[in-house]
This record gives sequence, C-alpha cells and structure tokens, in this order.
Amino acid sequence: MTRTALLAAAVAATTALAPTAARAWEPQTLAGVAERAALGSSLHRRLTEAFGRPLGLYEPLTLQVPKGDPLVERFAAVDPEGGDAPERGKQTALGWLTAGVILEGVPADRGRNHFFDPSTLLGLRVGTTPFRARMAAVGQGVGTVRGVFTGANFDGSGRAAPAWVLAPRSENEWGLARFLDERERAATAVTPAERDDALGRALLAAGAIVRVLASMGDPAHVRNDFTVAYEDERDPLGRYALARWGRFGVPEPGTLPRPAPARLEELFHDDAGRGLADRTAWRFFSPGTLPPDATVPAVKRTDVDYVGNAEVRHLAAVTVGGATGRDRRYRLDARCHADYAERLLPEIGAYVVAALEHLFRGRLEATVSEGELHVVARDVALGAGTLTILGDDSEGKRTRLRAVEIASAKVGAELAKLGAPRGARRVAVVFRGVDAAGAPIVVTDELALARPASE
Amino acid sequence: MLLTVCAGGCAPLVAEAPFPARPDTVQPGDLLGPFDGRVLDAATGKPIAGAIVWVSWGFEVGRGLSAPAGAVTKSVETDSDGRYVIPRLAETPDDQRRVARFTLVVYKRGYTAYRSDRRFEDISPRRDFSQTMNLVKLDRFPVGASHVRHVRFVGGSGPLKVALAPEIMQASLELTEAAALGSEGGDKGGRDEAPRALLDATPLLSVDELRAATGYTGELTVDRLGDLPRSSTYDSKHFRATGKPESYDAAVRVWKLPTAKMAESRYVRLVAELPGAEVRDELGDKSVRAKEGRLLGVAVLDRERAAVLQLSCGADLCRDHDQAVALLRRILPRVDRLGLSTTTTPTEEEAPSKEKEPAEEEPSPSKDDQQFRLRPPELRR
Repeated sequence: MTRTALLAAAVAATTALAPTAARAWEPQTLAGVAERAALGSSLHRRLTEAFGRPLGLYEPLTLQVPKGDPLVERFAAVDPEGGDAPERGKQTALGWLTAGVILEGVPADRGRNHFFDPSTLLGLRVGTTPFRARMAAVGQGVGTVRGVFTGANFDGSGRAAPAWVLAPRSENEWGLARFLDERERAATAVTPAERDDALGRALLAAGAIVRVLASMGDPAHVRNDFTVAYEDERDPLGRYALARWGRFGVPEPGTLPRPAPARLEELFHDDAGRGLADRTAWRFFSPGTLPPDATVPAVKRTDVDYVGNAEVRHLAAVTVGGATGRDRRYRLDARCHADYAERLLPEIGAYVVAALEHLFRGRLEATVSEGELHVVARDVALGAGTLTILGDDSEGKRTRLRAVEIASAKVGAELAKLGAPRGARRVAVVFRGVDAAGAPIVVTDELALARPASE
Repeated sequence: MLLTVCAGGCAPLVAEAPFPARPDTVQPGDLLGPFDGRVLDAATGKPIAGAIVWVSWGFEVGRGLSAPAGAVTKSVETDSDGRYVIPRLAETPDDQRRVARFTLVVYKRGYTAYRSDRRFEDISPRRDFSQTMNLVKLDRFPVGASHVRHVRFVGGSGPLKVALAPEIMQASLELTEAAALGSEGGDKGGRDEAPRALLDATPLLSVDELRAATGYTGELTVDRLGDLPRSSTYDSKHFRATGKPESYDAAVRVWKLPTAKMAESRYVRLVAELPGAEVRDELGDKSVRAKEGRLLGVAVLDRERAAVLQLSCGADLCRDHDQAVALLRRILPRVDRLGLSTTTTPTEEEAPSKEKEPAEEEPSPSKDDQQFRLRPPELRR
C-alpha cells in the first residue's frame, strides 16, 4: 500500500469519527436575514447621504481583485441563486453585504470561531483529539493534508465569537478592524475606483461580522453543542428554517429587546445578559444540551408531551413511559423547531439591524456657507480622533487637504471651520477615532461642489 | 455517509431532487437534469417568447455541516412557443464536492418571476415544479407591488441580473421613498401591499403653455418617458410632436425628494450623465446646460424644494438654450404644487393588453424615447 493510499484510508476512517466545521443557520437563511435587516436599517439612507451613493443599497461597486487573490477563489464558492455572487468583481452594496455573510463560512473552518458560551465566556471546545479532527477535515474537503500537520485545519476548537470579531487583521482579516480600515479608505482613497473597492470590502467585512453575530441566535452555538447538534443530528433547526422559508421568506426583523449598546461586543454578550448569545443560551435548548433522561414517579402515559413556557410553547418534546412507565426522555422535534425558528429569526434580525446601525453610526455634516467649510458632528458624540478633510479634482482624484486632531465633540459641535477648498469639485470629511463611549468609529460625509470653489 | 475513497474516480455526489421527474409522477427527478418546460401568460394562456430561463446547480463541500463550494449556471431564452430546454449538467463536481441543489428562475420584464423552489405570492415552497414537461404560468407584475421584494426573490446572475437592472433602479427608488416616509425598508414581505402613491408631474407644464412659449402650432401628444419608472419621487412628461422628428419634442423630468441632500445627490448623478454638461448656475441653487445633437437640455437643483428638474427640448422647438432656461425658470416654482396620486393612467399602468408585450407597469422605451433622452441613465456612477 502506498503512502498516499494509507493516508486516504486513514482519512476515510476518521471522517466518521470526528467533527467538522459548523455553520449555524444555513448560509441562505443568514443571507436572507442580513438582507432583510439591511433593508430595514438606515443603511440605504446613509449610503445615499454620507457616501454620496445615489442608489444606496443598490449602488454598484467594483472590487479591484487581482488574479491569484484568495478572494477570487472564495467568490467562486458562492452560489449565485440568491443574487450574492460577485461577477467580475462587481456587485451592489447590498450584494457585497450578503456576500460577506456567505463568505464568512468559506472556507468552512472559519465556522470554528462562531461559537460562544456566555456561561464560560469560551469559544468552541469539542472533546476529541485535535489530530483526529484535523484528519477528518481533510476527508470532508474542508481542510488540507498540510493543515493536518501545521494545525491549520479545524481541530474541534475555536476562538470565542466576540473575540473573533474584534481580533486584529492578522488573525481575522474580515472583522471589525478590517471594517474600520476599509470604511476610512472608502472616503480617503485617491481614485473613485479605489474608494469603490474600499466600500465594497467594508460591506464584505460588515457581512462577515453580522454572520458571526447571527450565529449567536443558534442554541447549539451558545451552548457549546457541536457534537450532537451538528455531528449527530446535522443541524435540524437550520434545515427546518431553510425548508420552511428559504432565503426569500425569512421573517422580518423584530424589535431589539434591549437598548442599543455602546459597543459592538455587547450585542453578543453583556453582564446584564442582554446579548444575543445570553438570550439564546438561557431561553432555548440545543439537541445536545437537553435535560438528561430521568425516571420520574407516578407517570404512566406513553405519549409525547411538551414542556414549554409563555414564550416558547414547545420548548422540548418529552416522552414519558418506557419499560417502567416512568422514563422521561427529552428531544427537539418539528414543533420545537418551528417555535424556536419563529422566535429566534426575528430576534436575530433585530440584533443584525442593531449591528449595522452601530457599524454605520454617526454623521458628519459638511456645509459650505459664505466661502467657508463647516464640519459638524451629528447623531453621535465623538471622543478623541482625527478629522481629515479631502478634496476632489475634476476627475475625482482625491487629495488630503488638512487634518485636525479632535479631543472630543458633543452632538452639534463644530469640528472644523476653514476656507472652502480652492479648486475642489467635491469635499470629503472623515473622522476616525473613538466615540464618546470609547468605541472605535469612522464617520464620513461628502459634499459636492458644483464648480471649483475658487471661481 | 457521503464520502468514499475512490481509486479510479467516483460518480458525482448528488442530493435527492426535491421535485418529480414529470408532473404526472411522484418519481423523484434528477438534480443534474436535463430540464424542459413551457412558459405561458397566466391570464391569456399564450406562450411567452424571450423569457429568460436561468438555472444554477449549487455545490457544497463537507459532511452534514458544510460550506458553499461553487456553482454552475446556465441561461437560455424561451422560443416562440414558450419552450425551454436545459441540457444535463456536463461539468459534474470533482472529488469531495457534491451537487446540493438546483434552482430555476424564469424572468420576463413586466411579469412576476418564477422560481422552482418558492412562490413569490406567499413565500411558500413550490410543489409544482417538475424536471421535465414543467409548466410555468407567469402573472403580470402587480401595479404598486414592491420591486425590492421582487429583486430579492429573483436573485441570480449573468443575463438574469442584466435583465433585472431596471428593477434594481426601481428598488432603489422604493427604498428612498420608504426612508422618506420613515418606514425604512421597502420590503415588508407582505403580498397585499397597497399601491404606492406616485408623483404627478402634470401641473408643471401643459401643451398650451409649451405652444405659447415656443410658438409651435403643430399637434403635441403627451406621454411619459419610458426609461425611468414613475415613482413617488419621480415623474416625467414627454411632449411628442405628431408626425415630426424628435427635434420638435420636449420633455420634463422632475425628482421631488425627501431631503435637500438627496436632491443634491440626484442632481450630481444627473449632471454626470448629461453629455457636454456646462455649469451655469443661472437657475435655482445649481444648474447646467447640455447639448447632444439637436437636443438641448437644462437641469436645475432647488435645495429648498428638495427637487431636481430637467427640461429637454428639440432644437426645432426651442430656438436656443436661453429659451429652454426661461421655460424651466417659469415652471420651477410649480414643484410646490406637485402632488401624489394613486390613480394610474391607461398609458402606463393599465390592465395588460392582450396584444402587447407586458410593458404596462414600466413601459419599454420606444425608439423615439431612446433617441430623445439625452443619455440613458445607467446602473453605474
């Protein structure tokens, strides 16, 4: 037997025994949730007003993706049936957002970082040997032979989802850091094509972020239930939702059951238990975290009954009876899945809306009056940061005109007042720093000048 | 278990088709195809030629819990008898990828699209799709229904996306209107959406006034320009000189937007699309003059009214730009009078004619229209 054949046999043998990467709700469901959330958010208006994109969410944006870039292969993985697949690097703003949702699951082992147990504050940890898990990843086509030995393949563990979103770009290239960088570049890059590219990538990152957040609305993802929910039962809740609603019919976002948080990570978890992970973990079971089977006295029926509460009528199916007539077994059946999905998907949508509002929060108002450019902070009070003022020439080439250090600014405060840029056809203003709550923020505005201000 | 180790190559891994092989059997179809069927107008029963039939085979990788792994798409058009044939998938996936799903979309402008997996009306799963002898009955797209919702429903890529481009523009306008009304998002998912109120540009300019201003004595018919759909923020009037070339025509476009900033954004886009635009700022807050062949154009931004107006006038109707500017100056204050209307005029949104192509909801531009507009708005900045 050759070495290759031996390896193939080993892979085949371990495939059935060890876990693979997980993806929470089906990608189409999550793309549908994100799409509806974006349509229900103020993102369209913000793109129209602050980014100077007349078509808002339907503005076409082209990414400059060179041959050989890993993004090329990742784009090719997207099934275009939902309209998410970029074509020759082109997609609408909304399409980039939903493509980001899908690409956060490509390659599949990114999903290892989509778990978070709010009771331990840990990410995924599966009780299997890392080597066996990495071998299984090869067999399932979601890892490489090289990854078995380098440790790059999925090994049954992952970073906690909030930490993954906040990780530096060297660890997660599509997290919050990337979003902020690209959002800034979308206003500061020299050429219109570069700014389109940056805005598209910012939306890809936003899609990736909301995908991770949406995973917190899957009980298995917040109860460290990989083995039973995904390995044994192959995500019955996710399959139920896909079959019932597909991508197109996902329920619209509900009402956020908490005040809008100051920080993105608070949408995942906070000390008051108001994060999506907290609420999901404490209100729902996953297949592998149901109450243990038990023997209870004086129960003689053998039919299926349900335990539930005012919010979730079918929280778990319980079969009583068995040989002694006193066994009690819990499981999740189709009625449970229906109740879970009907409760969870609108709530996930509400959290995704809140995440998009958080990512795109704040407003700068740039106006020209009596030959002077005024920049005023709107909507959100700002902390320390830098305000950069840029001007476009007649071909849209953008150059930096001035930078102003800001210590803090209340809503309505004037950040800068200066002579209207000479010769500029358009002015862009960008603040990058933190808001008054200390959370990182990028805010931009653009103002078209009909003719050179010097004339 | 989906995976096996194959020494000499394996047959492609294919999920079970969720549809039957034919309408008259319960035998499951083959996800790989081939597929065939016929597309008919639901109201008339007549075949629909030229409908786009777009299909996608989606691949996945991984066992149970998996990731998207690409797709193969194909697009054909129905023939004169409304028939389509999609050949069997030739490029079967390699090694560990499997064919996870098949999706078929039928799209014809003016009709509600058809998907093999779900119904538009009530979002329920579709149960009547079959691999062969499939019958597709397309309903006319309801007047006032949400284009945001329809664009979401259609999805797709390639020729399908190209055909959908005008609806994408309408979807954008819908969202802008929704934002203005404070109801963020134009897609509430409902099936019984009330018709939206539409902007009515009629008070801006009458035939008599155009005649008086230009001295033209010939017959003028009034229609709407067909390149952009009427909406609650946009309307147009096309004064067409009967029996004369387009250089005797005139047209007015008006955008009445929720905010001055939106109007400014619209104006900037319009100026970018106008050929040979020359900044004059002689009207409103900003204005330009433009010229293409024997067509003169003037566009103006009025921030206070959050409005953008464009007047196009043939050189045989308006003697020069000054006359066009004077006319636009005269009608600009009338933007205050513009109202919204839920009534539709027979020329644009009436019940479908049995003889015509389904262009009532959004008429396709005639050849004259295509020439007359100073440059078609494109789906790009």
